[in-house]
Amino acid sequence: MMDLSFVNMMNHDNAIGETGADTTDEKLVALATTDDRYFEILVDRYEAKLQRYIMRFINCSVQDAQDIVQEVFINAYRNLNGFDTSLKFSSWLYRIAHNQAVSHVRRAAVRPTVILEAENLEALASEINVENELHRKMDDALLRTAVNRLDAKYKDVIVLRYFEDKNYEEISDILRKPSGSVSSLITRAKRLLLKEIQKSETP
Amino acid sequence: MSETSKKIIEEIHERNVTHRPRWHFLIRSISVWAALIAAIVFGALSISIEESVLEKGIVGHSVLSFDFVQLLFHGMSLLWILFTIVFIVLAFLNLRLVKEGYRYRAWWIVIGVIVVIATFGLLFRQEGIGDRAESALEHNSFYQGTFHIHPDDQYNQPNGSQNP
Repeated sequence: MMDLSFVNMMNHDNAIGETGADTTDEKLVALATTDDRYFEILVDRYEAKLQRYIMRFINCSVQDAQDIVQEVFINAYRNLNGFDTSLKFSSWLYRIAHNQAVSHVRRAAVRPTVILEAENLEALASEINVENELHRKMDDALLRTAVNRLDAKYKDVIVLRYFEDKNYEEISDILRKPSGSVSSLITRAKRLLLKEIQKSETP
Repeated sequence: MSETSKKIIEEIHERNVTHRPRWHFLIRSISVWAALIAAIVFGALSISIEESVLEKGIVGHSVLSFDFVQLLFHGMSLLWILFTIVFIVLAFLNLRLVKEGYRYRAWWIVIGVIVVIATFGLLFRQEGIGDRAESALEHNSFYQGTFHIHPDDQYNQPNGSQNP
Protein backbone atom coordinates (compact mmCIF):
# COMPACT_ATOMS: atom_id res chain seq x y z
CA MET A 1 0.00 0.00 0.00
CA MET A 2 1.03 3.54 -0.59
CA ASP A 3 3.29 5.51 1.69
CA LEU A 4 1.49 8.72 2.71
CA SER A 5 4.76 10.42 3.59
CA PHE A 6 5.17 11.07 -0.15
CA VAL A 7 1.94 13.07 -0.17
CA ASN A 8 2.84 15.04 2.92
CA MET A 9 6.28 15.72 1.55
CA MET A 10 5.00 16.80 -1.82
CA ASN A 11 2.17 18.93 -0.43
CA HIS A 12 4.85 21.18 0.93
CA ASP A 13 6.65 21.17 -2.34
CA ASN A 14 5.16 23.11 -5.21
CA ALA A 15 8.07 22.40 -7.49
CA ILE A 16 6.06 20.09 -9.77
CA GLY A 17 5.37 21.88 -13.00
CA GLU A 18 2.57 21.40 -15.49
CA THR A 19 4.23 18.38 -17.08
CA GLY A 20 5.86 16.98 -13.94
CA ALA A 21 8.81 16.10 -16.13
CA ASP A 22 11.31 15.64 -13.30
CA THR A 23 8.91 14.01 -10.89
CA THR A 24 9.02 10.25 -10.46
CA ASP A 25 5.97 8.16 -11.27
CA GLU A 26 5.73 6.98 -7.69
CA LYS A 27 5.53 10.53 -6.33
CA LEU A 28 2.91 11.40 -8.93
CA VAL A 29 0.85 8.36 -7.92
CA ALA A 30 0.93 9.44 -4.29
CA LEU A 31 -0.21 12.93 -5.28
CA ALA A 32 -2.82 11.62 -7.73
CA THR A 33 -4.81 10.04 -4.89
CA THR A 34 -5.72 13.54 -3.72
CA ASP A 35 -5.48 15.58 -6.91
CA ASP A 36 -6.54 14.31 -10.35
CA ARG A 37 -4.18 16.70 -12.17
CA TYR A 38 -1.27 14.46 -11.25
CA PHE A 39 -3.05 11.44 -12.67
CA GLU A 40 -3.40 13.37 -15.94
CA ILE A 41 0.39 13.70 -16.06
CA LEU A 42 0.70 9.93 -15.64
CA VAL A 43 -1.88 9.29 -18.36
CA ASP A 44 -0.01 11.58 -20.71
CA ARG A 45 3.28 9.91 -19.85
CA TYR A 46 2.14 6.33 -20.52
CA GLU A 47 -0.82 6.43 -22.91
CA ALA A 48 1.22 6.20 -26.13
CA LYS A 49 3.62 3.59 -24.72
CA LEU A 50 0.78 1.36 -23.58
CA GLN A 51 -1.06 1.70 -26.87
CA ARG A 52 2.10 0.66 -28.72
CA TYR A 53 2.63 -2.27 -26.36
CA ILE A 54 -0.95 -3.49 -26.77
CA MET A 55 -0.77 -3.20 -30.55
CA ARG A 56 2.50 -5.14 -30.59
CA PHE A 57 1.18 -7.70 -28.19
CA ILE A 58 -2.18 -8.53 -29.77
CA ASN A 59 -2.10 -6.81 -33.14
CA CYS A 60 -5.49 -5.17 -32.75
CA SER A 61 -6.83 -2.06 -34.47
CA VAL A 62 -5.86 1.41 -33.22
CA GLN A 63 -9.42 1.88 -31.99
CA ASP A 64 -9.35 -1.37 -30.02
CA ALA A 65 -5.95 -0.49 -28.56
CA GLN A 66 -7.24 2.93 -27.48
CA ASP A 67 -10.28 1.32 -25.86
CA ILE A 68 -8.04 -1.12 -23.99
CA VAL A 69 -5.72 1.69 -22.85
CA GLN A 70 -8.73 3.62 -21.60
CA GLU A 71 -9.86 0.64 -19.53
CA VAL A 72 -6.29 0.22 -18.23
CA PHE A 73 -6.22 3.79 -16.91
CA ILE A 74 -9.72 3.54 -15.47
CA ASN A 75 -8.64 0.38 -13.61
CA ALA A 76 -5.43 2.04 -12.48
CA TYR A 77 -7.34 5.12 -11.27
CA ARG A 78 -9.81 2.95 -9.35
CA ASN A 79 -7.03 0.95 -7.66
CA LEU A 80 -4.55 3.75 -7.08
CA ASN A 81 -4.74 3.36 -3.29
CA GLY A 82 -3.69 -0.26 -3.68
CA PHE A 83 -0.55 0.53 -5.67
CA ASP A 84 2.35 -1.36 -4.14
CA THR A 85 5.21 1.13 -3.80
CA SER A 86 7.77 -1.68 -3.83
CA LEU A 87 6.96 -2.04 -7.55
CA LYS A 88 7.75 0.38 -10.34
CA PHE A 89 4.60 2.20 -11.40
CA SER A 90 5.31 1.28 -15.03
CA SER A 91 5.44 -2.43 -14.11
CA TRP A 92 2.12 -2.13 -12.29
CA LEU A 93 0.56 -0.33 -15.25
CA TYR A 94 1.97 -2.83 -17.77
CA ARG A 95 0.59 -5.65 -15.63
CA ILE A 96 -2.90 -4.13 -15.83
CA ALA A 97 -2.43 -3.58 -19.58
CA HIS A 98 -1.24 -7.16 -20.08
CA ASN A 99 -4.25 -8.57 -18.20
CA GLN A 100 -6.63 -6.30 -20.07
CA ALA A 101 -5.13 -7.33 -23.42
CA VAL A 102 -5.35 -11.02 -22.51
CA SER A 103 -9.03 -10.56 -21.56
CA HIS A 104 -9.63 -8.82 -24.88
CA VAL A 105 -8.04 -11.71 -26.79
CA ARG A 106 -10.10 -14.24 -24.81
CA ARG A 107 -13.29 -12.35 -25.56
CA ALA A 108 -12.40 -12.12 -29.25
CA ALA A 109 -11.29 -15.79 -29.20
CA VAL A 110 -8.48 -15.26 -31.72
CA ARG A 111 -4.79 -16.15 -31.63
CA PRO A 112 -2.95 -12.83 -31.41
CA THR A 113 -0.32 -11.94 -33.98
CA VAL A 114 2.49 -9.77 -32.69
CA ILE A 115 3.53 -6.73 -34.72
CA LEU A 116 7.32 -6.45 -34.57
CA GLU A 117 9.38 -3.51 -35.77
CA ALA A 118 12.55 -4.06 -37.82
CA GLU A 119 14.96 -2.38 -35.35
CA ASN A 120 13.78 -4.59 -32.49
CA LEU A 121 13.96 -7.65 -34.68
CA GLU A 122 17.63 -6.93 -35.35
CA ALA A 123 18.31 -6.78 -31.62
CA LEU A 124 16.53 -10.08 -31.11
CA ALA A 125 18.34 -11.67 -34.07
CA SER A 126 21.75 -10.74 -32.70
CA GLU A 127 20.71 -12.02 -29.24
CA ILE A 128 19.91 -15.47 -30.54
CA ASN A 129 23.08 -15.45 -32.67
CA VAL A 130 21.16 -16.09 -35.81
CA GLU A 131 23.75 -14.41 -37.97
CA ASN A 132 26.60 -16.42 -36.47
CA GLU A 133 24.73 -19.66 -36.66
CA LEU A 134 23.41 -19.35 -40.16
CA HIS A 135 26.12 -17.14 -41.67
CA ARG A 136 23.56 -15.04 -43.42
CA LYS A 137 21.81 -11.77 -43.10
CA MET A 138 18.74 -12.20 -41.02
CA ASP A 139 15.45 -12.20 -42.80
CA ASP A 140 13.04 -10.08 -40.74
CA ALA A 141 9.97 -11.77 -42.12
CA LEU A 142 11.32 -15.17 -41.08
CA LEU A 143 11.93 -14.05 -37.51
CA ARG A 144 8.59 -12.28 -37.36
CA THR A 145 6.82 -15.50 -38.41
CA ALA A 146 8.88 -17.52 -35.93
CA VAL A 147 8.01 -15.18 -33.04
CA ASN A 148 4.34 -15.37 -33.92
CA ARG A 149 4.48 -19.16 -33.94
CA LEU A 150 5.72 -19.24 -30.35
CA ASP A 151 3.39 -20.16 -27.49
CA ALA A 152 1.84 -17.17 -25.71
CA LYS A 153 4.07 -17.62 -22.64
CA TYR A 154 7.23 -17.28 -24.79
CA LYS A 155 5.80 -14.49 -26.91
CA ASP A 156 4.94 -12.50 -23.76
CA VAL A 157 8.53 -12.50 -22.50
CA ILE A 158 10.08 -11.86 -25.93
CA VAL A 159 7.86 -8.82 -26.56
CA LEU A 160 8.54 -7.38 -23.11
CA ARG A 161 12.29 -8.04 -23.23
CA TYR A 162 13.18 -7.07 -26.80
CA PHE A 163 10.39 -4.75 -27.86
CA GLU A 164 9.49 -2.97 -24.61
CA ASP A 165 13.05 -3.07 -23.29
CA LYS A 166 12.05 -4.36 -19.86
CA ASN A 167 14.59 -6.07 -17.59
CA TYR A 168 14.01 -9.48 -15.97
CA GLU A 169 12.77 -8.01 -12.69
CA GLU A 170 10.26 -5.79 -14.47
CA ILE A 171 9.02 -8.71 -16.58
CA SER A 172 8.72 -10.76 -13.39
CA ASP A 173 6.56 -8.03 -11.83
CA ILE A 174 4.44 -7.55 -14.96
CA LEU A 175 3.73 -11.24 -15.55
CA ARG A 176 3.74 -12.19 -11.83
CA LYS A 177 6.34 -14.90 -12.40
CA PRO A 178 9.62 -15.53 -10.55
CA SER A 179 12.68 -13.90 -12.18
CA GLY A 180 14.23 -17.36 -12.58
CA SER A 181 11.22 -18.53 -14.58
CA VAL A 182 11.39 -15.40 -16.75
CA SER A 183 15.05 -16.09 -17.47
CA SER A 184 14.31 -19.75 -18.34
CA LEU A 185 11.41 -18.72 -20.58
CA ILE A 186 13.58 -16.23 -22.47
CA THR A 187 16.37 -18.80 -22.94
CA ARG A 188 13.89 -21.43 -24.13
CA ALA A 189 12.12 -18.93 -26.40
CA LYS A 190 15.43 -17.99 -28.06
CA ARG A 191 16.29 -21.66 -28.52
CA LEU A 192 12.87 -22.32 -30.08
CA LEU A 193 13.26 -19.30 -32.36
CA LEU A 194 16.65 -20.49 -33.54
CA LYS A 195 15.31 -23.98 -34.17
CA GLU A 196 12.34 -22.59 -36.05
CA ILE A 197 14.60 -20.41 -38.22
CA GLN A 198 17.02 -23.25 -38.94
CA LYS A 199 14.07 -25.43 -39.93
CA SER A 200 12.84 -22.76 -42.34
CA GLU A 201 16.33 -22.41 -43.76
CA THR A 202 16.70 -26.13 -44.53
CA PRO A 203 15.69 -26.72 -48.18
CA MET B 1 -1.80 16.65 -23.47
CA SER B 2 -2.72 14.33 -26.34
CA GLU B 3 -6.29 13.87 -27.54
CA THR B 4 -6.36 10.27 -26.32
CA SER B 5 -5.18 11.33 -22.85
CA LYS B 6 -7.90 13.99 -22.72
CA LYS B 7 -10.50 11.41 -23.76
CA ILE B 8 -9.35 9.04 -21.00
CA ILE B 9 -9.60 11.73 -18.33
CA GLU B 10 -13.04 12.78 -19.61
CA GLU B 11 -14.20 9.17 -19.53
CA ILE B 12 -13.05 8.82 -15.91
CA HIS B 13 -15.08 11.91 -14.97
CA GLU B 14 -18.10 10.89 -17.04
CA ARG B 15 -18.25 7.46 -15.46
CA ASN B 16 -17.74 8.97 -12.00
CA VAL B 17 -14.91 6.55 -11.31
CA THR B 18 -13.59 6.93 -7.77
CA HIS B 19 -10.54 5.57 -5.97
CA ARG B 20 -11.26 2.42 -4.00
CA PRO B 21 -10.66 3.30 -0.35
CA ARG B 22 -7.46 2.28 1.39
CA TRP B 23 -9.33 0.00 3.81
CA HIS B 24 -10.54 -2.10 0.84
CA PHE B 25 -6.95 -3.09 0.06
CA LEU B 26 -6.08 -3.40 3.74
CA ILE B 27 -8.97 -5.82 4.35
CA ARG B 28 -8.04 -7.84 1.28
CA SER B 29 -4.44 -8.09 2.42
CA ILE B 30 -5.44 -9.02 5.99
CA SER B 31 -7.86 -11.67 4.65
CA VAL B 32 -5.16 -13.32 2.56
CA TRP B 33 -2.73 -13.38 5.49
CA ALA B 34 -5.43 -14.62 7.90
CA ALA B 35 -6.35 -17.43 5.48
CA LEU B 36 -2.67 -18.33 5.16
CA ILE B 37 -2.17 -18.46 8.94
CA ALA B 38 -5.40 -20.47 9.37
CA ALA B 39 -4.26 -22.97 6.71
CA ILE B 40 -0.91 -23.38 8.48
CA VAL B 41 -2.52 -23.79 11.93
CA PHE B 42 -5.10 -26.32 10.70
CA GLY B 43 -2.46 -28.14 8.65
CA ALA B 44 -0.25 -28.41 11.74
CA LEU B 45 -3.23 -29.56 13.80
CA SER B 46 -3.99 -32.26 11.20
CA ILE B 47 -0.40 -33.51 11.43
CA SER B 48 -0.46 -33.64 15.22
CA ILE B 49 -3.79 -35.52 15.21
CA GLU B 50 -2.40 -37.83 12.54
CA GLU B 51 0.52 -38.71 14.80
CA SER B 52 -1.84 -39.21 17.71
CA VAL B 53 -3.93 -41.63 15.63
CA LEU B 54 -0.85 -43.50 14.48
CA GLU B 55 0.35 -43.83 18.04
CA LYS B 56 -2.92 -45.46 19.04
CA GLY B 57 -2.13 -48.12 16.43
CA ILE B 58 -5.44 -47.99 14.62
CA VAL B 59 -3.97 -47.88 11.14
CA GLY B 60 -1.21 -50.28 12.11
CA HIS B 61 -3.79 -52.96 12.79
CA SER B 62 -5.40 -52.40 9.40
CA VAL B 63 -2.08 -52.72 7.65
CA LEU B 64 -1.21 -55.89 9.53
CA SER B 65 -4.52 -57.42 8.58
CA PHE B 66 -3.84 -56.52 4.92
CA ASP B 67 -7.29 -55.02 4.79
CA PHE B 68 -6.64 -52.10 2.51
CA VAL B 69 -10.32 -51.24 2.08
CA GLN B 70 -10.49 -50.94 5.83
CA LEU B 71 -7.35 -48.86 5.72
CA LEU B 72 -8.76 -46.57 3.05
CA PHE B 73 -12.20 -46.02 4.47
CA HIS B 74 -11.62 -46.19 8.17
CA GLY B 75 -8.01 -45.18 8.47
CA MET B 76 -8.30 -41.93 10.30
CA SER B 77 -4.68 -41.22 9.67
CA LEU B 78 -5.37 -41.12 5.94
CA LEU B 79 -8.21 -38.74 6.57
CA TRP B 80 -5.89 -36.41 8.43
CA ILE B 81 -3.20 -36.79 5.78
CA LEU B 82 -5.83 -35.69 3.26
CA PHE B 83 -6.71 -32.70 5.44
CA THR B 84 -3.02 -31.82 5.73
CA ILE B 85 -2.67 -31.89 1.93
CA VAL B 86 -5.74 -29.68 1.56
CA PHE B 87 -4.30 -27.16 4.02
CA ILE B 88 -0.89 -27.27 2.30
CA VAL B 89 -2.61 -26.46 -1.01
CA LEU B 90 -4.60 -23.64 0.61
CA ALA B 91 -1.46 -22.20 2.24
CA PHE B 92 0.34 -22.40 -1.13
CA LEU B 93 -2.47 -20.60 -2.96
CA ASN B 94 -2.58 -17.87 -0.32
CA LEU B 95 1.17 -17.40 -0.40
CA ARG B 96 0.95 -16.85 -4.15
CA LEU B 97 -1.60 -14.09 -3.49
CA VAL B 98 0.38 -12.19 -0.88
CA LYS B 99 2.49 -9.25 -1.96
CA GLU B 100 5.57 -10.47 -3.87
CA GLY B 101 4.51 -14.11 -3.37
CA TYR B 102 4.85 -14.63 -7.12
CA ARG B 103 8.57 -13.86 -6.95
CA TYR B 104 9.33 -17.34 -5.54
CA ARG B 105 9.31 -20.55 -7.51
CA ALA B 106 6.26 -22.74 -6.88
CA TRP B 107 8.38 -25.67 -5.65
CA TRP B 108 10.16 -23.53 -3.07
CA ILE B 109 6.81 -22.30 -1.80
CA VAL B 110 5.48 -25.86 -1.56
CA ILE B 111 8.60 -27.06 0.28
CA GLY B 112 8.52 -24.02 2.58
CA VAL B 113 4.84 -24.54 3.41
CA ILE B 114 5.40 -28.27 4.12
CA VAL B 115 8.37 -27.50 6.40
CA VAL B 116 6.45 -24.81 8.33
CA ILE B 117 3.33 -26.98 8.72
CA ALA B 118 5.38 -30.04 9.75
CA THR B 119 7.38 -27.99 12.29
CA PHE B 120 4.25 -26.55 13.87
CA GLY B 121 2.65 -30.02 13.74
CA LEU B 122 5.53 -31.45 15.78
CA LEU B 123 5.30 -28.56 18.23
CA PHE B 124 1.54 -29.10 18.62
CA ARG B 125 2.22 -32.79 19.18
CA GLN B 126 4.83 -32.07 21.85
CA GLU B 127 2.38 -29.78 23.59
CA GLY B 128 -0.26 -32.53 23.49
CA ILE B 129 -2.60 -30.46 21.31
CA GLY B 130 -3.05 -33.32 18.82
CA ASP B 131 -4.07 -35.79 21.56
CA ARG B 132 -6.50 -33.32 23.08
CA ALA B 133 -8.06 -32.52 19.68
CA GLU B 134 -8.42 -36.20 18.81
CA SER B 135 -9.98 -36.98 22.21
CA ALA B 136 -12.39 -34.08 21.75
CA LEU B 137 -13.37 -35.37 18.30
CA GLU B 138 -14.02 -38.85 19.68
CA HIS B 139 -17.06 -37.38 21.45
CA ASN B 140 -18.46 -36.16 18.15
CA SER B 141 -21.01 -38.67 16.91
CA PHE B 142 -20.45 -37.98 13.20
CA TYR B 143 -16.68 -38.40 13.51
CA GLN B 144 -17.11 -41.43 15.75
CA GLY B 145 -19.62 -43.07 13.45
CA THR B 146 -17.92 -42.27 10.16
CA PHE B 147 -14.22 -42.49 10.78
CA HIS B 148 -13.39 -43.82 14.17
CA ILE B 149 -12.54 -47.50 14.50
CA HIS B 150 -11.18 -48.58 17.82
CA PRO B 151 -8.15 -50.92 17.69
CA ASP B 152 -10.18 -53.63 19.41
CA ASP B 153 -12.87 -53.58 16.73
CA GLN B 154 -13.35 -56.78 14.78
CA TYR B 155 -12.06 -55.50 11.44
CA ASN B 156 -8.90 -54.23 12.95
CA GLN B 157 -7.75 -57.46 14.46
CA PRO B 158 -4.47 -58.59 12.90
CA ASN B 159 -5.93 -61.99 11.96
CA GLY B 160 -9.29 -60.56 10.98
CA SER B 161 -11.12 -62.76 13.54
CA GLN B 162 -14.04 -61.51 15.57
CA ASN B 163 -13.89 -60.80 19.25
CA PRO B 164 -15.94 -63.10 21.44
